[in-house]
Amino acid sequence: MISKPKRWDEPFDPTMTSALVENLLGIPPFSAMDEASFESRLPLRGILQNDCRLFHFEKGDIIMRQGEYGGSVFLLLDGELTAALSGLPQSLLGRSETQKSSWWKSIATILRPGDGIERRRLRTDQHLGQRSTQEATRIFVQDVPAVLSGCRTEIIQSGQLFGEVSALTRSPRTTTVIAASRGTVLEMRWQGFRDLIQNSPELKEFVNASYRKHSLATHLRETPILAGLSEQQIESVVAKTELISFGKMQWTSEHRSIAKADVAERILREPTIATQGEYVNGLILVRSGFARVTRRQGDGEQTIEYLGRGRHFGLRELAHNIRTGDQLPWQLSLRAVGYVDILMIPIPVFENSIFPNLATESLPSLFPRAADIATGKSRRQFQRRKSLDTKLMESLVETRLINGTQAMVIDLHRCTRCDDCVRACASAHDNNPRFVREGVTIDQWMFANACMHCLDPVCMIGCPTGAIARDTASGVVQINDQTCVGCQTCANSCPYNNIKMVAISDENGSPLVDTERGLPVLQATKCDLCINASTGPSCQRACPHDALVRIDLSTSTPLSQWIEG
Amino acid sequence: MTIPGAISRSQMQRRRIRYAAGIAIGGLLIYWLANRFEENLAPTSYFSGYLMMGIVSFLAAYNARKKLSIIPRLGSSSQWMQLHIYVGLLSAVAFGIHVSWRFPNGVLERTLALAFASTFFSGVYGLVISRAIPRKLTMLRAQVIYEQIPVLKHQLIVAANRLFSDDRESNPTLERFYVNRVAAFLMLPRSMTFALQPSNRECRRLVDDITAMDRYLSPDDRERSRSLMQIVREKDDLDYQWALQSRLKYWLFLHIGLTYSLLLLAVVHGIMAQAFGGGMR
Repeated sequence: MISKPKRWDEPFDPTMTSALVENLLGIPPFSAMDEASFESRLPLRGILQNDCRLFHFEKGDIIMRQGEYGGSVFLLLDGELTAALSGLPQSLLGRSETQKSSWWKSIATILRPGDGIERRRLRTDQHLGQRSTQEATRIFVQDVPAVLSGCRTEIIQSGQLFGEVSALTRSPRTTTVIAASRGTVLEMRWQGFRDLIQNSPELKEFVNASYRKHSLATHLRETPILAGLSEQQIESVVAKTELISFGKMQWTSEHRSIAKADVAERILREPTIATQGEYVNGLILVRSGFARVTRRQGDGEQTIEYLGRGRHFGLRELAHNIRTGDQLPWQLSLRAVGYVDILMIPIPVFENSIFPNLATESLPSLFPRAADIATGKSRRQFQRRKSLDTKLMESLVETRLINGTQAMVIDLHRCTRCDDCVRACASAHDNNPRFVREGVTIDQWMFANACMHCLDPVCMIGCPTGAIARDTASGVVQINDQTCVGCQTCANSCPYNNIKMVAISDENGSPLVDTERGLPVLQATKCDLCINASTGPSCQRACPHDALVRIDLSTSTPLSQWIEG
Repeated sequence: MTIPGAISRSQMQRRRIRYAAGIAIGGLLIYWLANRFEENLAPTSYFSGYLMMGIVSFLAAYNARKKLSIIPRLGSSSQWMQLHIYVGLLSAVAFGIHVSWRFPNGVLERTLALAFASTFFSGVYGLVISRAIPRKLTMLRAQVIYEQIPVLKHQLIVAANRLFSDDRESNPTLERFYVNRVAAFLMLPRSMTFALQPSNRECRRLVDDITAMDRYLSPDDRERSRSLMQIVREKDDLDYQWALQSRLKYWLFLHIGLTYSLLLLAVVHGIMAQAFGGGMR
């Protein structure tokens, strides 16, 4: 029996034929690949047939938008594309401009409360048009030269790859690509592209170089413990750092079924990045995704902490070994939760470039020695910092609530169930509350069903018009009513069911109906963190008992501070 | 704490101390000012009367503030709540000074004093239950929204009926017990006594009786009786939720209703005092 990847149960493009695959095999980079080097389970032809799709574009079509989270890589087959590197207005990218309500406007909203009808004033940007093809709805730019005048641009020629770094590292796209002529592009699912890389040294080298050139240095510069490094030192770190991926990027489809399994078993099933007791081989930085820090307890593993983007692992061991000359192994284990990209900085690079630049006060404490433990001195000297209890910590990881940067947490011991939070939300949104006061409950803590503005916003992958996007200034994930076409991609992708589809009406309250299908026009709605109100999130401000907070769960510190005081 | 607007327990503790100290100082100040008025032979009752009117208006304004949640620079609801509690406590001191620590003798004054006392004590009661009931609710298996309770109860009735309406041949003992005892428990509203003092006595009795029936039941029916037992427990939890959440909701209606009547009586009292008392000198 042959086991093929599950993703092939649903091919990226069901209309991809063997003849098209044959044509693709004749062009670079596929022509240079050796079919024999591919596993029989993952043949090159299979990848091209199931993980790729062709789409034909017209002049002006937007192929990819700056800021969106992509899950695919593009190869231009024919035609010409223009990459706008900067200077495009937000409205052109399908996003709304954020405007804070004035005091008077807020008063007017209260005096004229909405009637619960989801009214929309639909206007299209004068520069944009919309057309539906068999595959999807496409947004196009009406006058490309006018729109791109004043922008820094680059031409993408036939045969060029683009979008590979953001697809492989699940990070926002850094450019907007607009069609400069009619043509065809091959879109590859990131999983398929990853498999291609594994079997093509040239492609692997190209992607590696591209990542190092465009992303790695910026990421390292943004990492707090590397803040003191000079440009030259950063370059030396970039040259030696290794990017390694663990786990499955498509964690959203699996995490519900996995969550039913026994915790101990689940932890042991997670791919291990570093194992307690083994040789320390470098400083680990989390590039994207989440990792779980565990300590061995008898035959099982206890969760101590979880680490998200920008956090590091192994600094204490490395610093201890350099300062004392010991050769301590990993004191804890690190495991991939779902999917994680890590950057491994080898010990010599850490020793020569990073350690000398660390301020003494930022160095972690030394591990207690055996003699200190015997005398009890370690307990006095090496007190552990406050942390969440294991049950809460593990539940947060299992339910992937750790993805939330603005999760709504309610202390049920303080909450009088008055629903002032829901009413406040409703009054900020024309009488349509954007959340329900229910959700995952762990002990006294309820994690309500309100958009958490996730660190890894899977809802943003695949939006055909770019209507769902992250506000660059505030980090809030917003839906633009003007460009949402109601395709439900975001609502179906959200693993927490925090995006709802609602039937919309025009400004007069008349329901909008899709004339072709005779069905109500739907749009996605969710918590926008009251981005237009100058008060901040109304729900939090409306709670009389300080029972509700919007909190960053991507690191455990804010929650433990709130809980422990 | 780095979360804007959110406060931790230690910050809450500090805020409590700060507000309590402020209110104590406020109380002493009012007492000192009232004495100064008396020493100068000025009418203390006008000073304390206007003060009471201000305090009661401020306390009543909290309800209006709740409706203005999106207006900036009004302070958070929890800050208002804290002030409401402490100023409410201070109002008892101001009231005592205003009535010279005696029960007044006019009809209007007595009604007003009773209105103040009932508003004050309903507030204290609200403070107590808003601290105690959430913990009791949290201990239950499921957290439910008050408005959804009737729907959830109906779902339980449907589930229970389904246990006895399928094609399986059922033992008449269990079916009779369901019709005679459990159906009424599931369908009828609970008594006023339960609403005031909810307990799981009735649920326990039913569960014990279902368990005692085990020896008359086949293994298949025993499984059915376990499901019925679960439904009974869930219904009891919903009734408990309903009783406690109703208390939290209806208490507020009472407190707000009393506040409006207090305000109205206070205005009438103020007008009468101004009209027949010569005004503030």
